[in-house]
Amino acid sequence: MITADRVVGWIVAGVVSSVLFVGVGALHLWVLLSTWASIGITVAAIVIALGFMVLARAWPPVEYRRTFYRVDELGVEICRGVVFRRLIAVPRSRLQHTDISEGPIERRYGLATLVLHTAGSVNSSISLRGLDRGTALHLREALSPETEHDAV
Amino acid sequence: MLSKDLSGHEGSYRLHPLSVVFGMSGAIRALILPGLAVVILARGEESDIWLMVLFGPAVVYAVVRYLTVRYELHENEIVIRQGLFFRSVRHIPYHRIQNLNLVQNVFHRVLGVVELRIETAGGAEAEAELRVLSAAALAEIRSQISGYKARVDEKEESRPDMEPEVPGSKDKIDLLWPPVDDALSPRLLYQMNAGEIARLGLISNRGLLILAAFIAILTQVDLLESSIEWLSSVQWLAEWITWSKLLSVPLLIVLAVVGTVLLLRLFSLVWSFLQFHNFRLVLVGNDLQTHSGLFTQQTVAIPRHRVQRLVIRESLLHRWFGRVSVKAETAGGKAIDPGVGSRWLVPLAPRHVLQSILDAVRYDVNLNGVDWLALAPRASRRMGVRYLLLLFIVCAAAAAISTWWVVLTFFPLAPLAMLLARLDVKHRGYALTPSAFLVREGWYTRKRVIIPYSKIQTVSLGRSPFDRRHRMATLRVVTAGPTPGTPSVHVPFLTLSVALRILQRLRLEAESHELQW
Repeated sequence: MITADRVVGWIVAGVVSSVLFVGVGALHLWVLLSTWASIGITVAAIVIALGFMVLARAWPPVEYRRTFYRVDELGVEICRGVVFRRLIAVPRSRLQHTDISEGPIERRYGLATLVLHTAGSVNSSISLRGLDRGTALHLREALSPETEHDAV
Repeated sequence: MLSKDLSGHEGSYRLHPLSVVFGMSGAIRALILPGLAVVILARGEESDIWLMVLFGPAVVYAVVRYLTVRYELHENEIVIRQGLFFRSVRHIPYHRIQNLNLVQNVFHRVLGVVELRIETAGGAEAEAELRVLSAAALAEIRSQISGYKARVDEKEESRPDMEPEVPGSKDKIDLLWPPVDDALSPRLLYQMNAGEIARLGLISNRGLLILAAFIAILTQVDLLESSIEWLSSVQWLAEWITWSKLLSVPLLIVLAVVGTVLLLRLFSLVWSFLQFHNFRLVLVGNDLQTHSGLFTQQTVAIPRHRVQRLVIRESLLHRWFGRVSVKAETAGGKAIDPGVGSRWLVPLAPRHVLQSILDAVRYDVNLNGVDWLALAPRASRRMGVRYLLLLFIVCAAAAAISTWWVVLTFFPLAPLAMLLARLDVKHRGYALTPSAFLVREGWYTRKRVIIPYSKIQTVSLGRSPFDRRHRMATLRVVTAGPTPGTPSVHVPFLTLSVALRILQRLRLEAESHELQW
């Protein structure tokens, strides 16, 4: 999961920095800037781009360390968030249905996202990212209701 | 009265022929001004043609709609077909119906027809609207649905063991329409008399709304300018009186303020009578029905197990009068009231009625015996910081639009903010009863929310960096709502260990109380 998130991070950083640099370049071409303004803008662009790169490298492990889940006979508990931490409990009988989604990058690393749907007015879909594909399938199996539910 | 479909299959009905008229009425309302303009401007014989151009499509549309909309009542679902080119067939199983709403305005009443809206969970709008039906057709639909319920109940009774929570049982439906105890005889739970309605008008603040609507109408008809002119002439008169009679200006201002307040309350009173004339809360089988309205009568039927949570409100005025108001929040369609998904169960009632209403909804809660638990010991300090921050922002904003020293008002007001914060925390709390989770908040308008364990969807704890420093957490309890994003119930500033314990308890209770829609 860390690697996959880092890949995503690098892609985002790459897009952001190329947009920034193209923007700065265009600014230099079309607008006459004083030397200081030019240096300031360039430095700012470099700092922002570097910031994104550092985040792309450092954030995924931090996020990974702060994500937990637990499944027991009562249901699922998911704990996540680095700055604002959240613990969400979904009782087993309140699960409407579960989805497994795989993006191209996730697929490349054999990962999957489990999405739990409830009928709640908020938190109606809760996703658990970065699961092993097998684990995700297994979890979904373990959580799928044995009884036929009212489809709301 | 029932207009059976001539083309063939049994059990297929059309709407009432008057649907054409009511279908047109919307268009007429929209086109009334252009229509008048046409009549006035083109005084000659041409006006007929122009009117036909204007109203023709609406008439055609209404006729086509009447001819194409059909509904069928099957054993366990209602099927609605409509459309000329793009046909749609909608199946609504009876057990998915959250509530049936009836609307009857003056014209409907005179002609003996009614508008029916069928609401199911989740949708922002009614699942189906049948405009308009005859009273007989309505009775037919109702009897079909209640007949279905009765059949389901019979099945329930004939089953040897009355264990409704057997996992894997195919008769999940039994849970959806629990057995009717005392037949289908309606039981009047509460009725508002004129005095109560007047009190409601005094307590609620709807006067401003009506005033706004009034002004809107005035601007529409260009009366505003003339009325302002009139008002200014009155002002001139008043000034003249002031100077001649040596009345003090402050007295005049006081009089004006008092007059405005009285006028607003009067409007509020009018609103209250329009809306809630002859308000009745009736229990019919398992449906809670409210009937109200002076001109436009409205009936809302909510199956009682569909009530997701109850909200009991008492403002300062409520408490002076010894009254409460109760709203029921359901997961069904768009609410008619402002305030999404919540419906008045009781707009205003004496306090002693409350318990009987809770019993009628089958909330196994005794409000007098509730053991309220408080927030974390240091909660008032944190709330104080929050209030001070808010006060500072307000002061700073005030300073920004006036002069800088206005910001100094922060200091004399700070103790007041601290006091309010303390009050706020003091009136917050939660309780765990054998069947429901209760939350209370508000020091001016006291609000109590009752969430049966069987309606809890998810429970979560949130911890901001500040929460973490103080070892606290915010508890959030989510139920189903009519639209995504209906606010959930939350309890802030709980001691972390306590919050975790509540979370585990709620998980357990939610799982052991089977979800009932």
